[in-house]
Amino acid sequence: MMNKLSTKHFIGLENATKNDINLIIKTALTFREILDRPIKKVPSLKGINIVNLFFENSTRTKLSFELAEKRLSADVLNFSASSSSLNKGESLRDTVQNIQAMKIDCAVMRHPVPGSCKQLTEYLDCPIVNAGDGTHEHPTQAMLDITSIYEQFGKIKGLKIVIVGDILHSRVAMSNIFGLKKLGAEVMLCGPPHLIPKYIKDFGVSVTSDINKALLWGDVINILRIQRERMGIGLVPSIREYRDLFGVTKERVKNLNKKIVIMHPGPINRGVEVDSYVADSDQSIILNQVLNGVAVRMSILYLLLGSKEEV
Amino acid sequence: MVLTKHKNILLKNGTIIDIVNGKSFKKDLLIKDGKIVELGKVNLKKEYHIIDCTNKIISQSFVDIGTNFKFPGVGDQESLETGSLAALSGGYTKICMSSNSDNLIDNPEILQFIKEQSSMIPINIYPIGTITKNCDGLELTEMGLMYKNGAVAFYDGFKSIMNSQVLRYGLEYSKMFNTPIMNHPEDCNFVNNGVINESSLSNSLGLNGNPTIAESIMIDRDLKISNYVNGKIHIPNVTCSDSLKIIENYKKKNKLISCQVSPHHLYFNDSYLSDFNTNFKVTPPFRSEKDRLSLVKAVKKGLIDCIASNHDPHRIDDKEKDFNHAEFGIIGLETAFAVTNTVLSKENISIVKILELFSKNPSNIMNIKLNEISVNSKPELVVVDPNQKWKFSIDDIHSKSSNTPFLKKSLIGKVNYTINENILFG
Repeated sequence: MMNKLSTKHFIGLENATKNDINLIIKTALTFREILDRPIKKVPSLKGINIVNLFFENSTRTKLSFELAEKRLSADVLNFSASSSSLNKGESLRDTVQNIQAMKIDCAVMRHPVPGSCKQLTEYLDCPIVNAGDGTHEHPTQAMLDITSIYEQFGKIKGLKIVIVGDILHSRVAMSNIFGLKKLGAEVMLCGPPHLIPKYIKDFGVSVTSDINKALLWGDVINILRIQRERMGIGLVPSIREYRDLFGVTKERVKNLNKKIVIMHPGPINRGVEVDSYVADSDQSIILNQVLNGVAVRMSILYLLLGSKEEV
Repeated sequence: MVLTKHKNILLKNGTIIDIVNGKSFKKDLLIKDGKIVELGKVNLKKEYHIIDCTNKIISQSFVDIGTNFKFPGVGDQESLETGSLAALSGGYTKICMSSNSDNLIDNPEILQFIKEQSSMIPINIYPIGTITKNCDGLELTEMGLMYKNGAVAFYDGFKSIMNSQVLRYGLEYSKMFNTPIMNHPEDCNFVNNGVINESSLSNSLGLNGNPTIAESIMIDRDLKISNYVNGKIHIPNVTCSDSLKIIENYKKKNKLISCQVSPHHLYFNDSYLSDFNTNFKVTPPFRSEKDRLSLVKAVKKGLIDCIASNHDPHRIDDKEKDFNHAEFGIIGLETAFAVTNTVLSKENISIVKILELFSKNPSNIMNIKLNEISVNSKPELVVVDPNQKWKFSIDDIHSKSSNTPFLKKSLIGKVNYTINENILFG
């Protein structure tokens, strides 16, 4: 089995190959087994230095990456820049010089501006992993979503996946669309029309503003967090109106004569985009997503940096 | 290319295209002490600096509208001296110099200062004053005093005047001086903090999209107001087909309207942004291929009055920032003619028409007199080879800044020499 990705960096799913995506899933599921063992550590990346560059606040993604790196026995450095220096628009080259001086083997970067990971690859020699760049892509999140769906159904092809929420400001949605479409899933987007990009249909997805229709259609619903900090004033008139129009509520789910799989990238606004009853129900795989997050990140780091040996 | 001064310059065997009176002829041209003294068969003399112009065209040098030399300012992006060399290398001897909020030209004292500072440089500067004080879009500047001190037009740079009443005042007031008003054609709210054209590409890159309607709606408003008050308006930076339709419609009923397009919008479409290269970040942004083609078509049918370089120098570290924080704009004087000629010559647009877009038409819009190419007139000339194929390289940049997407691009047509009286650049 090939155990290397075809690319040096992992920047996004738009340009990822189907083979690479499948390889990540497969390897992640292997690592997932390791995570169920009493000793959850493997020596795959022993002696490798990875720096986590976080230019934007993140709790889950950062923890997940750090855990994945430690489970692979890599040496981990954390670098958090203050948001004030970013607001001044520090030159990316300055950032790069800092990293180069640290002599590291791989950089994981979260940055608020789209394209910054891609720009970094032009300046740095080591592999770069995108941990979310603005509203561009969040490919490791999408890979953990896709892996969780695969784990549930044993396939992706032909599945009907709904993504509901603020698509316009979501990097998770775009990465999911790219990955899912490549593996042959059907994707429907649901949200307020002004929060759905005008040209989104070019990506081969369908669009609705009717949550009931979307629930009826889908095998899986991936509920995006309503990110108030990403929005201008007044984009969502009120929480109760959003819940009324797009909330995945107890009533809506109960009325379905099927068990739609519930996903959410977290953190959840309970009672807003999804009810606790739904989020905590047996059809929810939200906590699996978290565990798969570690496995997927192990998988990607291993496939970029690991040895030629089998896991 | 270097700058030299000569008492006698002989342009031998060239084809002269006098854009002012529409004549074209093959003659030698002799310049003595900064004046054309002979046209015809000129016998060679030892003291002449001879330039062989076989297969080359000699015409009036170019006029640029809206160049920003970042002057007066810190001087780290451009200076009058480096800007002049960039201009000469592109065939320009007349620069209508605009400002932005960081190098304001908004009062007569600054115009006097510019006049003093530019008296020693090898090109002619025609300042463009701002319409409003501090470019804040609220209060009109002393347009009359600025006009008396050399202002040829009024323009708030890349800051659009959003208040319609202020624009109306500007258009009415400037009628006293017959100077055009220019307004950056973007509704600054509607652009959505866009850094790239709104399209499926802006979606997939996750960058804020600037829709074409943000431009066309502003042009529609501006033309409506100018039509209402019968004011003279020049629209800078048209980039999309919707805007062109509106302009075409208004031009039928109003002769006081003119517009320009930049060479880079004729050359690039938004697909060049797909790898986040900030050297392609300009305002308004590069549009779709359909829009680009509509610009070319509009030039062809004469709807576009002139080409403007949109020369906008930036320090390298201001372009190497992340995409959102990197500055908008590129340098353009060095490449303007070659880029335009590369695109338009493939469309069978004649060299005469291309030259008009660079000299005759912009000078008409700005009320700047162009000299005829005749005995006793002052030579302000360009020598171009419209068929020369060349590759633009870092050595061709004379500006203090190097923010250009044209490096290593193959171009057709080259400015070989620029002459301003006794100054020769080539």
